[in-house]
Amino acid sequence: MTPAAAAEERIRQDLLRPLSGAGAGYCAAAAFCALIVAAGAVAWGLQIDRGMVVTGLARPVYWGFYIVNFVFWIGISHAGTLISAILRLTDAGWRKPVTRAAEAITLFALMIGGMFPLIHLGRVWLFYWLLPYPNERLLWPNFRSPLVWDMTAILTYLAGSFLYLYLPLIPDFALLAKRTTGLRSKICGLLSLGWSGADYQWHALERANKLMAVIILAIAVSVHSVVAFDFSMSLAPMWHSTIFAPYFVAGAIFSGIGALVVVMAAIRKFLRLENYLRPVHFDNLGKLLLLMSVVWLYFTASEHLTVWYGNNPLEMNVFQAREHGGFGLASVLMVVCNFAIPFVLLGIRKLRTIPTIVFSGFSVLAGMWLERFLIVLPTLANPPLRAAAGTYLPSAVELVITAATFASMALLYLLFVKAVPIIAVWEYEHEADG
Amino acid sequence: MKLTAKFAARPALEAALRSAGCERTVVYSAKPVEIASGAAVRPGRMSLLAVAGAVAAGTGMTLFMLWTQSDYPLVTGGMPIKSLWPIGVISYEAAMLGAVFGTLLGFLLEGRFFRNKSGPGEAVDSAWLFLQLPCPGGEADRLIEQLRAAGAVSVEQEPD
Repeated sequence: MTPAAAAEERIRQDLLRPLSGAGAGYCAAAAFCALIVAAGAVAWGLQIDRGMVVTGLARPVYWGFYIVNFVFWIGISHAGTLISAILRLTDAGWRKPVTRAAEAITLFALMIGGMFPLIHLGRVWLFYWLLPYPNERLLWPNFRSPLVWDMTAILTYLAGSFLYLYLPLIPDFALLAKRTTGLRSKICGLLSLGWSGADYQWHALERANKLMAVIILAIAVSVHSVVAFDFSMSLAPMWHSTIFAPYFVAGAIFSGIGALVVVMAAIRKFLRLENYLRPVHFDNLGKLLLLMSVVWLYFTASEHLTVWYGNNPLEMNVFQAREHGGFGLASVLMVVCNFAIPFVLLGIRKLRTIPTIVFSGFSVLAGMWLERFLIVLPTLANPPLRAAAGTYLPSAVELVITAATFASMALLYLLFVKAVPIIAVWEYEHEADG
Repeated sequence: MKLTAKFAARPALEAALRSAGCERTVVYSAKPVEIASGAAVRPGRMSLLAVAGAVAAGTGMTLFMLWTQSDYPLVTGGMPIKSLWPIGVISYEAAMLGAVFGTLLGFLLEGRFFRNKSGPGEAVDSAWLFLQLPCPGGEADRLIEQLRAAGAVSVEQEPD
């Protein structure tokens, strides 16, 4: 065996090693996550059985944690889009060890986020009313409704991101079919579609990846714009804004990078992939996180300054509630988490280490969840008719379902890293070769 | 008949491609190989399929929505019954979905999947590079000689 061949074999063994066996720690983590997910399923079952009365939703606050989580998770799904698609199109070589981790976040976050409109519907069995077919009175769905836009956009993004994740997996499935035995080998063989490594297949894969990168970018931008339209198409104070769509897209990319940093750190530590997910990858992601932190501040400042200067009483009512009322502390925390912490830790080169980058990632995740919370709640709790103002306190059902979504993400990821190599073997070998 | 030659490195493979000619040859490898000589260039129409998918799905969905609004005019807040602005969002998403499926179709066609033509099984799990080329009767010895001279580690002859 030549030295180059030996090096390639070592890479394969390293990247395929996490797939074999599961330690006690892994099993305990998976069981813990599964338990929380099961609790979430029970809570949702209770809600279906008893109705929305088991939630904290009450007049005038009809959107609570469910919609906050919906916007948050759809935002997280932008991790794969940015890291994988943009960097693939710009031929940035350093992206290769992180693309699959990012693409998996996209798919899983989208699956989780897409559940929330269903959970929020209450009578979930009537979901099919959104589908484009006429009811018994020959009435078609209202295609002008943002709810129908949501469904179309999310399903399109789900199909696109699944294909975007699956295509680069095909050569790895072929490899796994060779290196495993039994049922696993058969399943991998089926999923590899008969991949033989022929040059025309590599050409087709390269073209498809490039095309899908362009398409998925176009879809991702539209998806979070549509989520923003859910708010901005209404005439509600501090929602009816022309910059909401780009503001949401920027925030989504921001939180997506935060999630990616956290997931990468976990993969690096627990799968012992320190030689592959190197400090340079974290450093580059840290710089991107810093950039997006500044972009986020720019959008937030533009939005708030415009409202303040307009001094529209209806908008100022909500503005004051956000800044000084019951949501004041959350507003401060949001700015600290989304700007102050990342700006200091990532802006000063000496402080930019893997632990601080990961801490910034956690901070951004918390901050962006708070941002979604602050967009949804104050406007609803402070309607134009002041006498109708209300409050919102999430119920145990909502809290358990929220916890279950985070556990779902962890569980899906735990299963994923045991099913396929989390770093694309062929891409990494190609990069090492180049 | 066809010949399958095994190479340890890219320069030898390129030399073999130059000497044997690039007609109807297929290179098999476990990772993408960039061949400098311009051999194995595969022009494709995948982007055309993606655009066609986008146009078909986008147009189809737009017409469908316009038809449904004529079929049962739904008045919402005094807005026009037919307007491209609000249905444009779904038209756009449908176009993107069409592009996704167009790309998938192009990938399956260009990658010649499901055609039951498998290459050397070793190719997907080794560092070796394989070159497969058709071998007309009577030319086998000459081609094998050429491939060995180019640096092939081994050359195998097998029926089509």
